Amino acid sequence: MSDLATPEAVGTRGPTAAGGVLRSALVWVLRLLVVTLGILTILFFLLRLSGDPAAVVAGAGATDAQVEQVRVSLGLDQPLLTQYAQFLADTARLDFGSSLLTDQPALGMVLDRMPATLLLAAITIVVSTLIGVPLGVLAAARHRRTTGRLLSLLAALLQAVPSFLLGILLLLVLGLHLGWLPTYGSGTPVHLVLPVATLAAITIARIVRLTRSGVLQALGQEFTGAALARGATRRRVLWNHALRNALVPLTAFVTIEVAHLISGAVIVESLFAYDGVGRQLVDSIFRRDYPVVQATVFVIAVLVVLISAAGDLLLHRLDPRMRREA
Amino acid sequence: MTSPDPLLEITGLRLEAGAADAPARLVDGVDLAVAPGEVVGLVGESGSGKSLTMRSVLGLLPSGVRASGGRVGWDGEDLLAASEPRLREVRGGEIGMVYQDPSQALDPLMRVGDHIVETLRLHDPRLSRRAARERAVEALAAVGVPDPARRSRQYPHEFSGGMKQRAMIAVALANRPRLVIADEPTTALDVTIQAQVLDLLRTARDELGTAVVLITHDLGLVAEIADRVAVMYAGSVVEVGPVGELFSDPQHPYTRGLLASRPHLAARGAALPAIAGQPPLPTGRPPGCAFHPRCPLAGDLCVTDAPLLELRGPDHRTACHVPAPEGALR
Repeated sequence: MSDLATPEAVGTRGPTAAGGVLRSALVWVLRLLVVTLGILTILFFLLRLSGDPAAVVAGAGATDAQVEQVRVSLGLDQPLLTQYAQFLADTARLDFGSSLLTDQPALGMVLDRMPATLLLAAITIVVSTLIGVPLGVLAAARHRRTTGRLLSLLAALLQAVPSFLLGILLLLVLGLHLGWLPTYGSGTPVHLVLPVATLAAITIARIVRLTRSGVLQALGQEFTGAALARGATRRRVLWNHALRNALVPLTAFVTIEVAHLISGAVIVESLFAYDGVGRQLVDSIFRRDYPVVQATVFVIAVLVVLISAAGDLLLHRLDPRMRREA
Repeated sequence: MTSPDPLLEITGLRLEAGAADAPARLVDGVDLAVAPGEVVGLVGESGSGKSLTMRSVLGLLPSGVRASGGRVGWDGEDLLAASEPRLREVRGGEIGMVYQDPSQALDPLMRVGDHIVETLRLHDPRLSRRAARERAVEALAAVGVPDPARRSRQYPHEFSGGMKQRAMIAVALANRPRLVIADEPTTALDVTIQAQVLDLLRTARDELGTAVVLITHDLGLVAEIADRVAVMYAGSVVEVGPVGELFSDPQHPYTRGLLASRPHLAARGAALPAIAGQPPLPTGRPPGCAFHPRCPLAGDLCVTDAPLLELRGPDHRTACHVPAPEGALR
């Protein structure tokens, strides 16, 4: 927007375009490094404050000497900063060590579970968008009528229901009472229904509200009136002009939501005993299984940064005004 | 009123908003005629109903505003009674629209050329996208956008204000309409650019025979480009006539007030003679002549009876009970 004041030629496809791409790629790599380093640092110290893994690993009946032996073998007797430096060096080599409980490589355990979580998040976001966007447009187009009011009321209500409550409700009614759907486990398409429904409900509500307000805002601006004055149908103005403009904030939101779904699958995965990273993360935290927790958080952090980079790319495609900034 | 066959002939137009039993009369019996190829200036303060009047021609009234009477004659047909598909043919096809602020009126996510492509293809679905693109480039070239082929692929934010308004005019003229409604087309622009925009409208009239309704509060613009002027006050036309006549011999006290309140270099330093008071709100219009509470010449009749437009000179009408004194305020 800054070039509003400078009149005339401002070419977008100048010779600097290639350099710009390289520069923004560099910025993204840097951001990835800074974010993951920051998160891992916070995580490292938080975990060390949360309890003694040596005691857990050694078992309940272990003597002090046994616990001390475990502590030394895990390297936990070293000064904290030495441990931290060692941790960073290992992370740089993508070596997160082995699970304190199962002795399997921690990163492998996380990567094994990741597809299930990604599948859950992907299906949720696709379903939510396919349902939420048309409903949001409808709510905007009919905002003065009963349909529109009912839709926004429903969306507001749904958004206010905590996901664990909705999950329990769905589980009780559809799973236990009616027996239509399996209440726990993963692996088959029917196992996805309840977790997806639980996660999607709130995402749909948010998408409906965001689409509605975005479309209404666009309809209040002069360019939609000008499109009508060019002879466009109301339908065309709604979908081609108003929705298109509403997609810009919507894309930004959906990006954040995908990241949320991956990191926030914890509750729903635990509730439905769905074998994703979320459930494994919760279990590992309770067992003080540091290597697995660290590996999980590392993978999620990298994914979130990558997803927001993809979202930014998409936004640049959608909104020409962003292409010159970055 | 000049020509026996006006292109646009609005008679007794009434536009209302609010409850049916106590509506706000936003436009209260407007008469206005535009001949083919004629430039008419529609002048008035904000809220006088000039923009609403012209929006009703396109059937694009804001929600909540309804036409409760009158006729919008368009080449013999009544557009107030026209179907939505017929109105779509008129919008952008037979009547083009230029807005006050081109940075608001162009879709920020649409390439400038695609605005023209859309307009062309909406009115001629058989036109190929490729052919429409070529015509869009020609249309941009015609309004003086330099390097039109490249510029047509750019987005509105890459255009300066003046270039955006040129593009807006190219959109309005894309289908060679018979009338262009220009709603304050220069208000948002630098003074140096205003003249260029006016030139474009004039050129459209001269070369394509397009009639123009220029909605404005700037009497200077009107003097420069219009053939005839209609002055609106509180939802009605109070005076209409040829531009020279209306400026040299204004009949309505409101018109005289407007002309007198323009700054003059000669009277520098002196206070501008403003019209006392405020225009009435649409919900609280006084009975009789709507201008009478502010009128220095108001008599008893003005308080009770609304004046009608009456002929005062050749093609010069005014709605006022008080005859103009010889050698009026200016």
